[in-house]
Amino acid sequence: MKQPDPSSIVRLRVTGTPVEAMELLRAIPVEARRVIEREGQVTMDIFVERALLDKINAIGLHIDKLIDTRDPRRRDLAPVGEGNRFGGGRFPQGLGELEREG
Amino acid sequence: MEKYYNTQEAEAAVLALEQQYPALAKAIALPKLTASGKQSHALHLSTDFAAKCPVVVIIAAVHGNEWGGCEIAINVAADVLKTLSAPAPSSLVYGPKKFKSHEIHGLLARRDLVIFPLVNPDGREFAQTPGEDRSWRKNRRPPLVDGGPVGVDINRNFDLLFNLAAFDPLAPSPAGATPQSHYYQGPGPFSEPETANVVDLLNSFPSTGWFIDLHCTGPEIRYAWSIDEAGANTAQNFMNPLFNGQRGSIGGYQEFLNGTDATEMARLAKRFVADVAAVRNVAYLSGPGFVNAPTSGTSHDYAYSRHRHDPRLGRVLGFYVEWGQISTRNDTGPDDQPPPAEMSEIIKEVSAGLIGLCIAT
Repeated sequence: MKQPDPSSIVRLRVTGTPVEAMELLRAIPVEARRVIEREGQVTMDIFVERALLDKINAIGLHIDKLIDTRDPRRRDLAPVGEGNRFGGGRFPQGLGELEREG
Repeated sequence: MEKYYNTQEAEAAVLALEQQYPALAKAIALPKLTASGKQSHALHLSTDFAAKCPVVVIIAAVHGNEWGGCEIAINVAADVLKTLSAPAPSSLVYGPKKFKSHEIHGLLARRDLVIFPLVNPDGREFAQTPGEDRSWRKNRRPPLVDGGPVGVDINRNFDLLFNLAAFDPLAPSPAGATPQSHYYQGPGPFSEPETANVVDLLNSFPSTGWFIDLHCTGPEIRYAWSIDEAGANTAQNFMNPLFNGQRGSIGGYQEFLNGTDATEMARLAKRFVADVAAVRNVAYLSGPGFVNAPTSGTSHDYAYSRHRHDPRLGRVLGFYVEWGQISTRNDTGPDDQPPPAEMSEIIKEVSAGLIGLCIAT
């Protein structure tokens, strides 16, 4: 049986004071995205290891949203090709269009 | 684009382009195999392989969860090749944005392009496996102990300020020091085969003048430095241990940046922004990478640092693109992979930006 990966990742939207947000950034290396400051509160999207959720709670940040990217329903949103679309003489065509000049 | 490329067809795409355009494209087998034994390839585009023109290097899919960068890199290569090969002079069109035939031919007369679409195939393969973690960012370096954490963040594994003691301990953390971290820097600089392949590419093309790394939490284009704010004091540089413990904070230490290079990176980034916007009016930001918090061991900073570290090496202006609009995607709750219809539009606009930037070099 496959062992659970202790570094499995969750995507979070968290909200807290600027002090709490900075404490998180110091404590954990994260790339914070979609950072919004409003009415003395900072909201940001981050990826963290699931094991760090307790630490985030201890800092005082509120977890607004937690996305489990293992959810199989997510696969339908961005399907992956099966097999090989570039075998047998087929090659990428590019998405730009050619327009004859003159 | 209806579906994202799996790792097998991403590699096959590079070889198929070489086969379709043998006079204009050569596949490069990178020397290091990944942990799972995969061979990676880059694609060298040139109209005169003997001339050794100045090179623009574009890499993508350094992170396993950032799928679309690979598609951008492959499709921009395909678009350039088909324009060069058109039987009659033809413009390359992305919506309202057109590149005239002479612009594309002129670009390849002055520059070679080296495109490495899938730096981290193991990470991508894992993230694309049903039931596994679609947000998997790192490679698949085996754990040190059974059941231990897997993987290294390739974009923290280059040797620029790998020693985290170089940074202010009160600044945001520039990389993960432990294997559990999503941003783990690895056991040592250049420890990972994926990192070594990028370094090998830069070493193999000493005439490289520009380096662009495609990521996906945009919309923005950033450039060196990401380790700290840029400054004019030559003593404040990444090689000077006197400033250890001071880097990465706002204010105080500033990483030396040649003023001419700063101006040129800003100019090229603005060209990228303008040509992206010309496709469907998406506004990308531009500026130094440090605005997104300090990071160590990144590819774009490493590329730019090489000539400072070893004056025998040519200067490489280092950029990274964060494509897409994460705020839009968040509202519908997805992860880092936009639906294919949206990804197709992103491919077009970023392709336009990349071509425009290359033309402006």
